[in-house]
Amino acid sequence: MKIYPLLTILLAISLFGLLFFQLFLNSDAQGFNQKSLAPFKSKLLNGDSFTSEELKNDSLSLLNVWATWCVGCRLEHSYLMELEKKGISIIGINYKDDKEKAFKWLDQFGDPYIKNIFDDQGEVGFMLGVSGAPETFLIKNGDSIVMHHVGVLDKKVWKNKFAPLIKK
Amino acid sequence: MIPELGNFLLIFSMINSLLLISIAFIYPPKDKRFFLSASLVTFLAIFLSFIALEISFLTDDFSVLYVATNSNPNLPIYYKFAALWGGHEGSLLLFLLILAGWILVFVLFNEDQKYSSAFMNIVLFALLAFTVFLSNPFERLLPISSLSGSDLNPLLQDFAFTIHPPMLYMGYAGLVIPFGIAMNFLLNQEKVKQLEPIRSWSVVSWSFLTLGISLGSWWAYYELGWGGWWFWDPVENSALVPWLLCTALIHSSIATNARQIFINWTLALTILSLAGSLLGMFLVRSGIITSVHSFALDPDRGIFLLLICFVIVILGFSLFFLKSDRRGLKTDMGIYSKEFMFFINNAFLVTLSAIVLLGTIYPIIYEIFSGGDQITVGAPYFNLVTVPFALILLFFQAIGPLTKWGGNKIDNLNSIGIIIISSIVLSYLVSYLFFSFSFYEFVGNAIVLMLIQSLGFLAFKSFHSQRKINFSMIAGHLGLAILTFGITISSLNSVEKEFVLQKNESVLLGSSKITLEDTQSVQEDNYYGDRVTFSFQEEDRILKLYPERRFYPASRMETTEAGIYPSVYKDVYISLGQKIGENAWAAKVQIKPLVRFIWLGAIIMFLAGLLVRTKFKFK
Repeated sequence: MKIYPLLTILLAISLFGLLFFQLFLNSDAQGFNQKSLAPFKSKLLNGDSFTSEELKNDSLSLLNVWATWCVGCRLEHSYLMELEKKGISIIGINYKDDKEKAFKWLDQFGDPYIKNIFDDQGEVGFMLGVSGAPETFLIKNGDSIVMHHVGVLDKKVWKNKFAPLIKK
Repeated sequence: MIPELGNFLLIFSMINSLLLISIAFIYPPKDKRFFLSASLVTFLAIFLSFIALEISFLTDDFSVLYVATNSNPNLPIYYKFAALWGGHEGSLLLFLLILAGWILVFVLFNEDQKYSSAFMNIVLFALLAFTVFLSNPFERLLPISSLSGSDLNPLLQDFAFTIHPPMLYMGYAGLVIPFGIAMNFLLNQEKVKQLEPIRSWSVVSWSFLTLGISLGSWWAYYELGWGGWWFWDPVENSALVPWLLCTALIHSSIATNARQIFINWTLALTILSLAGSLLGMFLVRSGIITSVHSFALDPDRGIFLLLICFVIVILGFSLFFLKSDRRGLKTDMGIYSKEFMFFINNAFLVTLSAIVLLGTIYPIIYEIFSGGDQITVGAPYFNLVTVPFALILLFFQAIGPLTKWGGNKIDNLNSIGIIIISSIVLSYLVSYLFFSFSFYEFVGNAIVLMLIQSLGFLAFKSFHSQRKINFSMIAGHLGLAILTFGITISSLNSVEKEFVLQKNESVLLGSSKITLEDTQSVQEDNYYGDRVTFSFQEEDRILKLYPERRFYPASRMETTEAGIYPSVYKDVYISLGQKIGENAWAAKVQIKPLVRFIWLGAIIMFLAGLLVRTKFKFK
């Protein structure tokens, strides 16, 4: 008769154990499949033109999709500023946004970007597979996407998803 | 100021709830008034905190992070009000409000208090702590920015959505009450009579779960533009599992009340159904499974929710195994007795819920053991494994009501025989004459006919012998029969066609002619888009349909609004695809016979459940 309690507890522990395990697995940097980056051309917020060839100058570049209409972008902005202070260069993609509002935003909250692609029609975003903002990409050698994070970029996400790849 | 007040009240209610638990266990008060006042204070504090968040929403206070991410100044005021439960934190607050409300109602109407409300408060306290520390809706976004707010997800800007979560939460939260009653019984076992309220409470939860799930299904039907009413989506499944377990609990507790049998089974089911509803909450809110519903992805939240669920299960089952009276495990029952019918009912319902749960979490298990490969378990698996079980269950549902407690020969043998034979013959004729004959169609219709005849027979017998008639039970089962009929006919007889049309061009579907008559643009405060007018000509009748594609600028999202012509017999359903050129659209038309019966049946089930305490007598 002692078998039922044991079985029930075992079943509960294994079920919950699996779910716990999966939660930790989920927060890991592994498991992202590298994708190739198709070459693209666009313009910058300041009016200059931009091609993805420029990304090839660096072994790693960080692309951050943002917009003034997006609350999550406001949230991660202070962390982006922190990253900039650490010397990490970030290329912004101002996504489906208004030029004036974008400049006002950068004036008000600070500008963490070395360059800002002006993607008002969302073409660059479409090509990258952006579904909204904020999203952040890590590009290797200007031709492959090694990380694509959907959502707010904060210290924890950086430590889990980006830092391990950058150290490599 | 108001958000801080709301936050303070939430913390206050958390402490109050903890106090109630401590006092109830350390120095159990004899007086019911203690529980009544403590529960009332907790409820009022949560209610005022809810009001505080509503004020932030209605006044567009975008310095509150949660308001900024879920509302927009251009949103109609009704949706601003409902946007409170459009995201993770606010919907949790709504859940807490409902849970505290149910506990208050329980304390008001039940005499036997000792530990029951303390156990309910354990769940309430855990979720309050989760809200205050990990999902606080009152968090500020400072310094105040120039933001005009994000938006309520456009898919959720819809009437059915605004009442879907509250109804569902009424059901989920209601499952805490039977749990509390069962735990109280285990701790101070006096008499089985203590378990009696479980029946009514589980029926009430079940009613709201039924309504909540069917509202969700109705919403998905017209809002997602796929024309389906059930997708076996992980979130739908995590509502279906507690529903199935709660259905089992209702029947088990009826047997417990009537014959003092299945006592342990009833107790175990109260734990399981609460665990099912908490596990569902975890699956939806942790981001472990991706789905149309998914909230913000945050593993920390998931871990906390999983812990709550784990602690409740371990606590419940520890008490169960330590304290439950094992003599009740064996029940003598003849194969023709009502006891046996309830046994079948429970065995099948619990198996069904296990099958659904397994299918839902299987992708997670697979991912772990395959080293990161991902699969999805879709409708074919679920349909294949659930439909046969459901059909057998429904068959017994038709027989069960005609059996007697402790019966050892088939009562009503002649009637059962007549019902089965006439159903088979009738179903054969109906399926053959009106629909394209198929095996499932025949079986489905036969079972529906059996159900209806058996319920009619039962009502007739009560009428004839001047006994009280259990209206709630008959109507509830009848609702299920209607729902089953709707599912059978609409799943097996729908037709659909995809096409591309220019203005004034037509396409044929069977003998009906579909014409694209006009295209125009629409503009509202919170969206703009295209509306296309189609005419649907069938014999002499011409119907007009107006499907739309909308763009919501605040959240940069595009949605499709299906054009639906509803009627009792069939729905004509057109959803727009892409705009192909000037005045040309890709679209899909579907004709769905009797699809309305699905929701009609569900509404009857809901109303029947609310009448649980009433019995009528024919004079």
